[in-house]
Amino acid sequence: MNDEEIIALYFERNEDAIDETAKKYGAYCRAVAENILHDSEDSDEILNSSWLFAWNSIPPNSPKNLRIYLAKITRSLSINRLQEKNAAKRGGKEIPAPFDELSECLPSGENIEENFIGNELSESINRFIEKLPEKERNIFIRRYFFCESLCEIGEKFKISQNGAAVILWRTRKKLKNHLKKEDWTL
Amino acid sequence: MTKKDLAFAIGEINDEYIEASEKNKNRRTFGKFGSLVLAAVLVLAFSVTAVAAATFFNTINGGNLSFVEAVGEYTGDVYKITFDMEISDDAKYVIDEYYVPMYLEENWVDCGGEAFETGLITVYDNYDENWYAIFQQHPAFYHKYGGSVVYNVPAGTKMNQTYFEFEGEKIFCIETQPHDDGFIGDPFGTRMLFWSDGYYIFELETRLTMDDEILREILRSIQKVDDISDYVRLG
Repeated sequence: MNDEEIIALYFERNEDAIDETAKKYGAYCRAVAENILHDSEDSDEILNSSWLFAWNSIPPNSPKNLRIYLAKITRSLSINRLQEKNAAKRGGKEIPAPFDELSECLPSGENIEENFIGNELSESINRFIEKLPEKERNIFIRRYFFCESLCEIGEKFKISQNGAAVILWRTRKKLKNHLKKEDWTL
Repeated sequence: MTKKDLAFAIGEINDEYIEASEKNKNRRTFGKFGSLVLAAVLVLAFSVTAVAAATFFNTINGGNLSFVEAVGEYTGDVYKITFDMEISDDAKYVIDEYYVPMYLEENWVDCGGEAFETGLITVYDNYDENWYAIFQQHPAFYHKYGGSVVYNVPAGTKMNQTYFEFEGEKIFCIETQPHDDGFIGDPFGTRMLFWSDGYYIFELETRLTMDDEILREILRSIQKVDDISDYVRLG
């Protein structure tokens, strides 16, 4: 079934929409969750939550790209789950390496008001992404959107793990400069 | 702002970029400018073919690895510098002894790193002087079959092959010259040293403006460590 047909099922409020979504994108979204959570039970739960979120959000949303829409939902729910687990118990899972690396990009140690962030920061990140050379952009997205390991990235882009790490380090430096230039240093 | 804010903001990257990252676009592309640069790099590479440069760190482990050919190829956004080498019988498949530049550990800001079975990377910054240094270690065996390193510089950046003199030895060195593009790559120019001890390939990249004496201090300080996890994250 193609994406338009699946989305049509959501709009008809036909529950087959969820089965078809899981059939087509279950493995894909599972990989997104697993890369962040590294826990198959948690990933199963996140998948179910993702399907429910999709059910509740389509309509009104009508995603142009269903796969990416689902990936974004799954990623977001997975990060939240990880943080809940961290908060719930000491010694719980640490924030995974890709997000940990992003600390380097923070322009200062000071916190900005929570409500100031959201969309404006997303827009700033998109402006940054646009300016990156294609390969660098893709490597950045594989690491920080999909949370892939350096090994996976190395294989995908035919470079060594060290090479991937160097490219990502340079990109993080650029991101830090970009955020500074856009006044994310309040 | 926290890293969680950044993580969520990255979650809102435009769909088309995310989709593009899933397509395999690793075919080699040679633009007009890239081809010119490639030709220049090839000329430089062949000019050093007969030079056995990498004997200097034999004092660490012993070994007879040497660079006999270096070929740079332009692949879009990065240069891949490939080395065909005379590999020692003892060249390693995986890293079982890691090395760390102690001068950087002790004097500069450690910006993180990662150690794998097949690689080590550590990154350091000197914010006062606006210098950085990246130290890498790879098993030498893989270079037998056209192993390569990635050098991430913009198209058209001038690159020179040269040597860095250190305690009577000449270390194989590639320099990129300063350029105008402040966003892509390092506009201040870089210097990348390569050498081997017969088991591993080592690389040290620094900003071109860094003092030679500091670079020598860094080279002198490289030493084997018992537990690499004391220094970098394990990948």
